[in-house]
Amino acid sequence: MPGGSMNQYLDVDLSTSDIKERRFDRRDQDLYVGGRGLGIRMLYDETEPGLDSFDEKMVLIFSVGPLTGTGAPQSNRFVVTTKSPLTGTLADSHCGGNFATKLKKAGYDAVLIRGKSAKPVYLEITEAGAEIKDASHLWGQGTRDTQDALPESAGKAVIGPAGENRVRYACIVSENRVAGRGGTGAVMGAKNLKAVIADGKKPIPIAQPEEYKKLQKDITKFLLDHPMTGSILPELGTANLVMTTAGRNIIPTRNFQAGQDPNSVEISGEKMRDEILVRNDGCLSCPIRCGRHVKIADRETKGPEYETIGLLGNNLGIFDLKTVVEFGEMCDDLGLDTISCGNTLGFATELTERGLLESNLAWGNTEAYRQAIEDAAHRRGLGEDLAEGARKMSEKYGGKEYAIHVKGMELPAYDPRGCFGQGLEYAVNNRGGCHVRGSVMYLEATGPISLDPHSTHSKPELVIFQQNSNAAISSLVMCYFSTYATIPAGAFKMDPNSLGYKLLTGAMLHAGPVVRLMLKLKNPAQLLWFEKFLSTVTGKKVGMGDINELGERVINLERLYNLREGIDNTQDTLPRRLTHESIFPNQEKGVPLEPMLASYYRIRGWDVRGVPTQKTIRKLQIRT
Amino acid sequence: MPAFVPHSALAKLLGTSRMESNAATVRALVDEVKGRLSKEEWERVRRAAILVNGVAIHRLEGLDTPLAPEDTIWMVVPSGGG
Repeated sequence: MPGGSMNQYLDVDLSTSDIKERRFDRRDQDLYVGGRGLGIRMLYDETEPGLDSFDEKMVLIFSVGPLTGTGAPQSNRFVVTTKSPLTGTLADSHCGGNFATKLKKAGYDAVLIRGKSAKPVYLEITEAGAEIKDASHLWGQGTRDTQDALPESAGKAVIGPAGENRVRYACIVSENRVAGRGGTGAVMGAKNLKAVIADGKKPIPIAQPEEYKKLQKDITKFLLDHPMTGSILPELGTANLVMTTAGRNIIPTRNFQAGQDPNSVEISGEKMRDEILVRNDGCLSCPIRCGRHVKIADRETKGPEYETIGLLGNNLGIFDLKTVVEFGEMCDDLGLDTISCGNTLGFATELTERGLLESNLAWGNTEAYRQAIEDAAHRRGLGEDLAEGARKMSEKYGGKEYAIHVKGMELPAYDPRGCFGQGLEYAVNNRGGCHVRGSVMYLEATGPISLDPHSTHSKPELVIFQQNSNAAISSLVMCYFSTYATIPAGAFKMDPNSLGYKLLTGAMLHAGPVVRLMLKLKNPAQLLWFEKFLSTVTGKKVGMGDINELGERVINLERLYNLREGIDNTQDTLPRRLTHESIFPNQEKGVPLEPMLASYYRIRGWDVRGVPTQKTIRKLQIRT
Repeated sequence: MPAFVPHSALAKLLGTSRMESNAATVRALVDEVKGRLSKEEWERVRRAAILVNGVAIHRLEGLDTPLAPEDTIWMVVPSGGG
């Protein structure tokens, strides 16, 4: 058995109640490692082309990675993979909490679920195997009550009414954490599967336990000493971003009609810390604890993430922090992705403002939004339209040029007109308008080093480098927040208004050829903790070049899956508002996408239509 | 009148999260802010990007960037998350 793996997965057919234990193809395990990588490999292999997301034959895969459950910092995460009902592309959605470790310690690297149950069920996984159980009593319940009703010691992944009602952006909830994007919860609902729970205590094999233990200690200390992972994120949570993105003019405001509002400070991380924070919260084995636990109206609850604040607060003209907390809580309990929900509500509000939709939605109208969130989850009234997402609403009511999505996935809370590389990243991402596939905005706008956000220089190279890294990290599986600590701590001490800073960032902006070289070379060095952890856990020496190649392979297979499903390069685009309307003074247009796109394809080894060439496919050893 | 939005540590020292100023340039604004703090306090909070309407001043005219009445000037610190 290779280190880090339980060497088997569960294959569950809800139509026949047949449950099998199966082994991975050893070569696939070597090439795709786990999590996101193995998820897309399984989705590609186990579904026929053109299958609808809600078809009984569609599969839903929960997968973990070699680092899961080992206690490596930020490694307790699982990935859910399926075909997105929102986009028609692959969907992989990632989540912290404690479910991942419990699943692995029950003895499995993944669970593949196919078929459809005749009645509501949940799946219970233990060291003794798996059992399909009746969930009729849980159907209709929110995610909080559902989790409370299931065995306390188990790790849980559950859906709320939104998933049951096949809302196209329904999420899966585990403890206070959420696999938010792409509508994986709706696929679960279509299978009449209310929850998957797991519990186990099996030891996880580690190839080099002594080296691993030392590494774990050293990296935990490193992360806690780093300004971003040891100070900023623990102190303010992801909401630390609000004031910076507002200052950078990139926080979505009234459906991306502006990039800031004078009231953004009222919903900032600082405001949360000073007025309602009770304590930090975190995933199992994570030293950072970026989650928030807050108190409103004499009760304690989860504090909102930056994205929730951006889309359900700023974007809707709501600047009351307690209302944003409440909306986030509602979405989690109903099982709605806060990003897609807030973005779709923003779009519907603009449609209403322009007289294209009849509704009571209006910027800052708390009551109207509260009702609309409930209605979306239950597909009642206007909620029937809201449940379809911004793209489908624009097809029905008009306003395509300001329906802010890519491939049908609503954009998160970084307006790319103030970070052009992020605009490219949104456009080319295989799962659609998502910020966590590369997070180039960190290098352009929010992080300590800001490479001219309005330049296209070296942005394709940076997007590819970041995308490859994140695809690999989410195959290990680790939280991509740890990548923020790859920027040296010294950078946080620089004066961003100094000549030295200007010269440094100016030089870095022309580093494209160096990055291209790095992408090509199979660098055997072990500089970062990702390759070191993977090596000590599996016993196979892995270098930085292997990590890059793993990510590249995953992204290319995702691309091939999308192409197989009819998603081609015509969808590698941005909504017209973001390419043609400027929100910065002295700038006539938005993101200049086309030139970056052409370079991106070329460097990736894809043809002009964004199709991986046979040479690229062969080089990456991808089976099609 | 240009509006100034300080980062949170600076806001605490200034006692406000937003102030208005008659400053004609970024340099004059910075001098005005510095004048309200001790030397040690300014040293603690000065390392933050200064942006005029979302654009970093080192991509404009630096401290000599002129200010117009409708401008908003921010000082922001590095941030990250998802």
